[in-house]
Amino acid sequence: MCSILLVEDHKIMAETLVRILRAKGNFHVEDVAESAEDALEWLSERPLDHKIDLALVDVVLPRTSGIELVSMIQEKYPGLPCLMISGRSAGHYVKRSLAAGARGYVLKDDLQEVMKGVQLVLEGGMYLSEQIKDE
Amino acid sequence: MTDKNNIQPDDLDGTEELKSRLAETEETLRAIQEYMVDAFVVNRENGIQVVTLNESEIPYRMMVESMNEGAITLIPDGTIFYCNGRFSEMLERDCEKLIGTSFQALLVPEEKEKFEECLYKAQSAGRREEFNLLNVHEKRVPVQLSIYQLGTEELSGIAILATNISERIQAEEKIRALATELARAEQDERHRISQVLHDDLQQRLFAVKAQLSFLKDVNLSADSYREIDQIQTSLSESIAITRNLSIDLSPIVLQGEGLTEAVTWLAFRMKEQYDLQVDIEAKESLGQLDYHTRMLLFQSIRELLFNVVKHAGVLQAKVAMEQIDGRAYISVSDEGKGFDAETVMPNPQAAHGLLILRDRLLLLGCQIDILSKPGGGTRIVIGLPLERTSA
Repeated sequence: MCSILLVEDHKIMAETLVRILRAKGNFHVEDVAESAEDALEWLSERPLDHKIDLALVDVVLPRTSGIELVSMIQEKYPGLPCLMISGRSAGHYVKRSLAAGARGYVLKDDLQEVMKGVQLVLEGGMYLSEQIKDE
Repeated sequence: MTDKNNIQPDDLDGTEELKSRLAETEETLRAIQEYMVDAFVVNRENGIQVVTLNESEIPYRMMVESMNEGAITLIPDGTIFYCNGRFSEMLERDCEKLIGTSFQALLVPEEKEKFEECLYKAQSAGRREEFNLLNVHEKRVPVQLSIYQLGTEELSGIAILATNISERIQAEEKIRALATELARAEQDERHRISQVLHDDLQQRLFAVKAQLSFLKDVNLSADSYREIDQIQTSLSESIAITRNLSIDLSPIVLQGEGLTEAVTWLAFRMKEQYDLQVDIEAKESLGQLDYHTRMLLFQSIRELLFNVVKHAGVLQAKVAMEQIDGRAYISVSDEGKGFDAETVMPNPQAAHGLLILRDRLLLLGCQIDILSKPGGGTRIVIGLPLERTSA
């Protein structure tokens, strides 16, 4: 089972994503970090032999943004793929996320897209929600 | 007045006549003392002459010296021929030292050309313009100058009335600062509401919609399944409404680098929502504008594009952005119905939206030019100084 670190500050949304990822995709969410700072701390404390397979990062986070977090993760943990998850489809955010090293960008309101994105990025690919591609 | 100057003592032959003449002389003297006489006629060897009395100028001099405005007369080359005490007080300069100097030397360098132009135009009609003069400490004194041509070709000169407008300028600056603060507070509040919509309400709607999908996994009747589908559809619509509202209140794209990017995004939205094709001609990205100014310009452009949709009768518009001499110019134009700007703009009912937009821009130190005529399309240009760098 693939393991995921979810970085999401909205509790209800986080709980729902954890449940859906497990139930619909058989993905295991190792932990939920509510901020970029918490995520970095969690990663730094993680034993080297307990690697996670993916960081699923909300774009909008308190203080340090999700995009900045991806940039820091790419610097410290270059092998860890990051997938952005957002309620917003602004091209501006998408471009910046990809420039920071994210492997994809999915919208929260389409769960099938979220599952598809997670699956493809775990397989080594890249993924953008269909709505973003249209824009 | 009768001429009695040539009477010889020998001619006086009667007391009555002497009394009469004395009374007449006393009456004349009284008139002179009470400023009732400006001049009188004398018969001299070289003919009849008009002699003016210096004292007759006193009332005018008193008025000019005591009035609250500076009064200056210039000879045609701009040299100060006379100035009153108020003018010297205004500039904290010695009146006697001012006389004989060039008036242009008192102007701030960047306004000298404007003054020359004003002087030239004043030859045909009086002009009233605002300038900045330099006081003795080289500090700017904002004034309104009323400039008039004096006299004829033989005896020409220039009269200037200078009114100190420092208080008015300060009051305007305060109003502008308040308006800016108000606009910022409004933008901040819009941003806050937008964030609540996005960061909380929208997240809850996403979660509820997702949780409903679990119900579909349970063995449901076909009717219940359809019900859940309908609820999910309604939730999707609610998400779309809150998303659009959140974006309209505070477009996230404005948090990016430049106005061009935001206008490009706006063009996409206008096409999507109203089928309006917006062409963008951006010679400059205007990236140095701060967030609040970007927001103000963005809202203004959006308002003007809405006007195209509502009134122009065409589905094509153009937004152009450029930078000239330290000022940014943004124009929104269309080739639609147009309107008679001279008739419509003074009418608060007909030009309601444009007047609000104009007032708002003017209060925040921008200028707006509205060019339109029936059948000839509309072009609206917003100009602002580029000193509004990133805050």
